[in-house]
Amino acid sequence: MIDDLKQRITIGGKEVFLSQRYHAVVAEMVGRPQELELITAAWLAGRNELPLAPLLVGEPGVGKNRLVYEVAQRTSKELYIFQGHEDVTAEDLACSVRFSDDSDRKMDYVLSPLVTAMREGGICFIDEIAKIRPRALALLVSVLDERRYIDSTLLGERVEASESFRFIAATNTADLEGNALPEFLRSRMRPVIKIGYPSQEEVSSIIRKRCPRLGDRAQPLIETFWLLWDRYDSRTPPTPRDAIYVFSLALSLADYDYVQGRTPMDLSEVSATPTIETRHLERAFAEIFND
Amino acid sequence: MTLTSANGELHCVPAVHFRFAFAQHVHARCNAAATRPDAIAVELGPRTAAAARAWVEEFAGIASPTGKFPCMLGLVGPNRRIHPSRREIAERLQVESGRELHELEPEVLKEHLGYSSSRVLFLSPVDSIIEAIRCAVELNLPLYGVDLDETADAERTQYMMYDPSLASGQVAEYVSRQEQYAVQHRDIEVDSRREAAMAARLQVIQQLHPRVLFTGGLAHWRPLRHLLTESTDLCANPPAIESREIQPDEFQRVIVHPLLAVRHMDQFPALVRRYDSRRPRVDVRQDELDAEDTRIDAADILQKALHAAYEKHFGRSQDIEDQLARLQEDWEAKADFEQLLANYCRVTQQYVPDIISLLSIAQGVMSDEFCRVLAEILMHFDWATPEQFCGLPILAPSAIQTGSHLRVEYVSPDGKYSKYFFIDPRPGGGRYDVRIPIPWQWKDVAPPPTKTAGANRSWVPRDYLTTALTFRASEIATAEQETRQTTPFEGSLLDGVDVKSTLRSFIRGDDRIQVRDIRRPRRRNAFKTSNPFPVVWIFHPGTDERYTWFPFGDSLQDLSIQLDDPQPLREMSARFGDWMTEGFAYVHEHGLASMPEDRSREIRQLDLRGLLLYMPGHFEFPQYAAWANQFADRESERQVPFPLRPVGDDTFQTLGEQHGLRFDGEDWPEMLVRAAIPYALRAVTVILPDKLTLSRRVYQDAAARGISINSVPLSYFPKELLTKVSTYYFVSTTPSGSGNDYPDNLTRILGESSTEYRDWVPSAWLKFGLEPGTPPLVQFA
Repeated sequence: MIDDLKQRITIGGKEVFLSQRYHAVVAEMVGRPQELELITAAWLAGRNELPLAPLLVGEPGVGKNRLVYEVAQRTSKELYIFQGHEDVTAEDLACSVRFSDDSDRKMDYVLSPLVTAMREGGICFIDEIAKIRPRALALLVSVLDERRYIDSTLLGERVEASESFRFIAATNTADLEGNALPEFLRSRMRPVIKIGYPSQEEVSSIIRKRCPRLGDRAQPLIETFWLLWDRYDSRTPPTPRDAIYVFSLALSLADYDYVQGRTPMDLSEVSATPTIETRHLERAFAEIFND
Repeated sequence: MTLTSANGELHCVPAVHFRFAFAQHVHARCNAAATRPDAIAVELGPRTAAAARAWVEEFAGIASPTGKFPCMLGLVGPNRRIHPSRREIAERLQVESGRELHELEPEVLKEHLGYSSSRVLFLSPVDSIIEAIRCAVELNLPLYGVDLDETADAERTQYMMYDPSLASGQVAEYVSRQEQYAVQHRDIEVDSRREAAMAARLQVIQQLHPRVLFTGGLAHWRPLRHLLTESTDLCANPPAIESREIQPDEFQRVIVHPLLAVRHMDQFPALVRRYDSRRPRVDVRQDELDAEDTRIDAADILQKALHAAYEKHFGRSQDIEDQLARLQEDWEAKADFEQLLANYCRVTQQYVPDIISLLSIAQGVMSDEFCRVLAEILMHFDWATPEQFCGLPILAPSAIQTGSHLRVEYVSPDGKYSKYFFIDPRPGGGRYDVRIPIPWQWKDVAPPPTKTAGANRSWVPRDYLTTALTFRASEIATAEQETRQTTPFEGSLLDGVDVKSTLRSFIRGDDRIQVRDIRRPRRRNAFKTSNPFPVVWIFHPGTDERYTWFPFGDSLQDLSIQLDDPQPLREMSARFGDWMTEGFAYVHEHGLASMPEDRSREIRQLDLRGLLLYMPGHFEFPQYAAWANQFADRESERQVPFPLRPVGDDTFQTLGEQHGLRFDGEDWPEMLVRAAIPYALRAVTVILPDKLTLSRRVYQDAAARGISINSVPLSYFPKELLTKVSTYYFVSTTPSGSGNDYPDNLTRILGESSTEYRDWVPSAWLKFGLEPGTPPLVQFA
């Protein structure tokens, strides 16, 4: 029984609230065909075959989350995201309670994104999973093996996963220092998919797609960006996030040039085709990368 | 696929390159008397075809020692054309850089113009074009190169293809089904010109020979057929150049390294082995080949390779403990691996996966050890070696790979000439992180040294791994010191209900449920809050005569040149001694391999029983200099967290005299820990086997200096990582600025990239000393 408006369902006679799904608004995907193929392959399931639970590993900003959004979009599945951090407890992974707005009762039960995805047959994506303490992750074990259920102590109920439920997690490489994930989980999270840095061509293409306002200036500005990057760090390539931040700030600086001098200054007014110049890019670069 | 004209017939074999089914078809046509052609044409330029024919002729008669086509050889030729769509960018590059195009870096040219100065023809026995050349040589038929010799690299779009492995025995059906998709793969600007030239030349060749066989890429087939059937006179006087009429001198013959060759050998090398072993020469009259003899079932071959890998992996060890570890790690994962493999084939529409995808999937699911075994089995092949083709340069993938194109280089045997350029990788796209072992035939082959050999340094990935695991150990030890408190339940159960506290609060009249809240110290910045050094690793306690002490360190004088102000470090060297001991180990040493061109460049393998590090082993020279420089102002050497001694003195004798230690191999684990204690500020991190207990003497020593011993059991770490940490490689390197250049082939010999495990090290510790303004190590202040 789902109350569409309030996203409430009943489990074991108790009324519980669902977590909110996430609708990603994303530009067209660039590159990563092999990674997409591998995630899709891991999630294919048939008779006597359970879907696997891939773990994405890579540097911050290389596009791990973007990959998950893309697969969610391609499979037309609802996406529920659980953000990992050090204070997550085992019960947070299943169910939590909050003070109720309903005067007839004290508390509301709220299903975690994980259990909501299990119930609704969506995708649960645990971001930064290695930041969660091992003892909190123990609850995941029964979800990721053939049992495919979770026991909530708070709710006093067992929730079984829908057949169409899929699981994926991601972690930054640095959080895996010394193999931080407990063995009981490592053996259940397969395949481990390493997400490397995108190529220069891919980053350039991402900039063009994410910053259409660059217009005709895109090519020379992108070339300037690479020159600046080489000067800043010739050892590691930039992540898409680095590049997007630089160009977003450069565009904002160009917009500022456009609105400054007007009184009052209208912050909602931006030029459709700002006169973005190399100096904007250089300043954005300096602001973001030069400590 | 046969086009008939008044002059005769043209049988075309549109092919997917490097796939055996099409080579098989070409061979079958040439083998049977009824279909044998009078001339052969291929999708190569006339000069390229001539160069290929000339070389195949040289070894066709005598063949390789095994009588098979040597695999793999290649021809490297020049490339001067830039894609028409990149003309404007090329002009802008020249204007903005102020340099001619040929003066720009190959990376810049490839990334911006899609241009590479060289191109390679891989003489792969399973390629239909190479098969056609072999047939032409064996039958002594005229061979024509009908394509253009020089064209720009085409920019092709990817499309999903029905697996060419299934085209075996039914090429015509496969072509008719796939040609509509393959045509989308064309680059109109480049391919249209080529197809016009090919069609014109084929028409001329048809006038000379009644029966012609032509083979080329499937993508060209539709437009080519259209040109050949719709146009009667494509060119008034097209040059139809027969390969024997040309004396090509512009191509460099190379022997292709297996790590590069494997990408041009169908899905995996075993398919090439099967194809070549069942291929009879076409000049030996044998009209009809037995279909069963020539049948190649790729799935069956792959299945056998997998079985062999399972057998070798699960059954090879006599050590029960080792076997159990393997079973535990891989037995459950095996089902997931096979499921993922099958699903991957479904998703990518492949009958069998290529070797790169296969190993990539294995690496995501199975243990490193299994992946190594599987890769070795898949790479088992009768590779052509440099000894067989003396004097030829080696074409190999570079150790460093960036971008989406494969960087390759070829080096002459004397090392005087080397060059690198880019090629489009296949299969496996741009994936370079897949670990493929060097076949045994190539283990001792190294690119010649191009610089003077330098210092003897440890192989840095193992240093990264040791540093990373040391941090992890320190973190585990710190986590033991977590704080526990009880708080009333306010919505989160935290670490569970605290029954005793709840009962106590009920008794007090407070009816709230009490929950446990266990907190670890937060890891805000690993650099500032934790310094795990000195660290002691004890892998295998016990004595063994073969093991000895092995110290390592650097000269402060040498390091001082890395600093803007070298004076403090030089003064420190004069006061306390020049040699900074960075650590030492209890080891058994043996040579692993030497590099044929330079015997002094030997890889030394050290099996470690124990290891003591006073500082991270992954540091580069400026980092060691910066580390030492922090303590340059200390008044006494007792305030310096590492041993210093005059050059020439014995490290162990000095330590023994200073701290009353005996390094004679008896009770060496205790000596390691006791040698660490005097140089610790607060604690010594000790990682030791679960059942090993340190003696009271160690704790007394520590207590006397106010130092704690943070012990962490070895069982916290996966066995495979421990195996790696306890195996070190030392190799002579070439100093390069701040760091060391390792021999290029080391990655291939050891199966590890030089940046492996680098990501596991906390970034602040990677950057320490390399960037201006790096924070000092506050814990020593």
